[in-house]
Amino acid sequence: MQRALLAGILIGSLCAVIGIYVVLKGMSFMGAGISHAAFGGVALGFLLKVNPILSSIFFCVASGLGIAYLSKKSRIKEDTTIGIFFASTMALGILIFGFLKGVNVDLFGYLFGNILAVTLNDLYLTLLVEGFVFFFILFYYKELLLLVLDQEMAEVSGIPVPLVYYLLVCFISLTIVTSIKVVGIVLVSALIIIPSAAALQISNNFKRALITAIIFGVSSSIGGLILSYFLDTPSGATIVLFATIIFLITSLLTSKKRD
Amino acid sequence: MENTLNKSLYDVEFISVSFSYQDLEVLEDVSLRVKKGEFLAVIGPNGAGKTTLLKLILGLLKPTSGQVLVFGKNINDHPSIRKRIGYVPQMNKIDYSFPINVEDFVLTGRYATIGPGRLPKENDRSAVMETLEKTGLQSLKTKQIGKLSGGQRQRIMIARALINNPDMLILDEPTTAVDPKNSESLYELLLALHQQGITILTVSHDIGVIAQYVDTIACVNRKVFVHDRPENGISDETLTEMYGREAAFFHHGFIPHIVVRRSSPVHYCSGETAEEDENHHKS
Repeated sequence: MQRALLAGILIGSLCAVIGIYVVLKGMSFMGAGISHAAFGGVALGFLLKVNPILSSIFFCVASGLGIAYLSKKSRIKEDTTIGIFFASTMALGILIFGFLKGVNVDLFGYLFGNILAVTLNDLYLTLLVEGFVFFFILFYYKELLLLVLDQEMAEVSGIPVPLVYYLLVCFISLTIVTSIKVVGIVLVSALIIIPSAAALQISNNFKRALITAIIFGVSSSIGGLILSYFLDTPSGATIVLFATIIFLITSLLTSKKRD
Repeated sequence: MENTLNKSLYDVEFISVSFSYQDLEVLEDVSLRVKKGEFLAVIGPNGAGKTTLLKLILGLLKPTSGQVLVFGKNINDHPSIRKRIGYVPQMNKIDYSFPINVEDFVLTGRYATIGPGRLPKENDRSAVMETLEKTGLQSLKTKQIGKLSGGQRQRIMIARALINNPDMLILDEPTTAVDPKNSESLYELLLALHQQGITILTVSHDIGVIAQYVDTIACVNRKVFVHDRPENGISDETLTEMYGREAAFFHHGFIPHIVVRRSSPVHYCSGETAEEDENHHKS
């Protein structure tokens, strides 16, 4: 349980921080697309007999970069590109798992989260990814802010926009893969989006939005985990519902202000 | 603050520049020169290449053929030029629900000079304060940008563009979403900057008003033709020639609007008729 709570805190904060950029830049659908690609990534891991988390990292990063690159270079709209990756990687995963009938795979756990299966190695990996993400966000703090606020101005200012953008996509992919054990493939994009969306409703300042998102993300994780432990429900779903309740509360608070 | 090795008389030079976007030729063999300290208006029908022209100057696009020089150099090879240019994009490009206040928004104009891994310093903050005072935004500095009026949003864009004391200011349709009173004060500001020697390029549809302030007018319709500002203002005939279709001024209120009629067999600045222009695009 201690490991589970620690995982929850790390994942909650990691997803929330990345989530601010995802929501402001309108990349929510891309997040969903990359997370479904993780299904294909996990399947490949089992097929090739490597750690499924490792194979997912490569597969998701490749998918994310593939989506980003194709959207810029081809005539196809971004949401179509994402839709194609979304479905085809999922289909690949389903096919591969079909072949591997004899192998004992906790599919349900990968899809919906199994917090009790979090190992010490998983925690180390999460810590490592979180370290990289926080370093990236601090180092490129201004550049990311301007990229998300006004991409054209970022380019005009001489900021290396393609580099920063592709790095952001990589870190979104890494965040998604490391969060899968806690929240599951199906709902990980919700944990990225919902606490951040709630925080943005009540923040007038970018720094405050990041901090509030972390608070909401960690609260959702811990609250959801404790609840799922007592109610014996899948951890991912419970965490996401907790986050949704927070979002509904912030919505109510802001709509009252408007009236 | 400038490079004494820059001997170019011209702040902007287009040398036989063509630009195509996929199969469509947007600009054809453009040769345009903007002198230091000139005030140039860029006009023309929508979709005819005005914004592309600006993007080529800003280094956001690369020409398909030919060369674009800014302060005598290629902007992509000399990124330090960028901080000498202040850019005011079209207002509707920003999401005003972004969690940022006026002060921090104007500060983003300094990011070009600060560089990654570094925090804004005291001189950056004081540059922001100075610019806010110059543009009359002091009292609004802690307001979130979504709570500003149209005219105020226009001013934060300008403040952001002016914060590095640029040698050249480029504006893309700065008065489109702004009421006449604020338009007038904007043009007064541009005139004051012009008198300080800043080169100004502005894309505008406010041609009747801008005709009172500019030195030259560049008419863009795939090709570019430059006219000096007509002494007696712009007549309906001149307007028609510039727009390539029958066009007239329509007055209501202070700012005259341009009304363009579709059908007439008029020649463009380029000398082509409307049919020739359409055939050009079909081939």
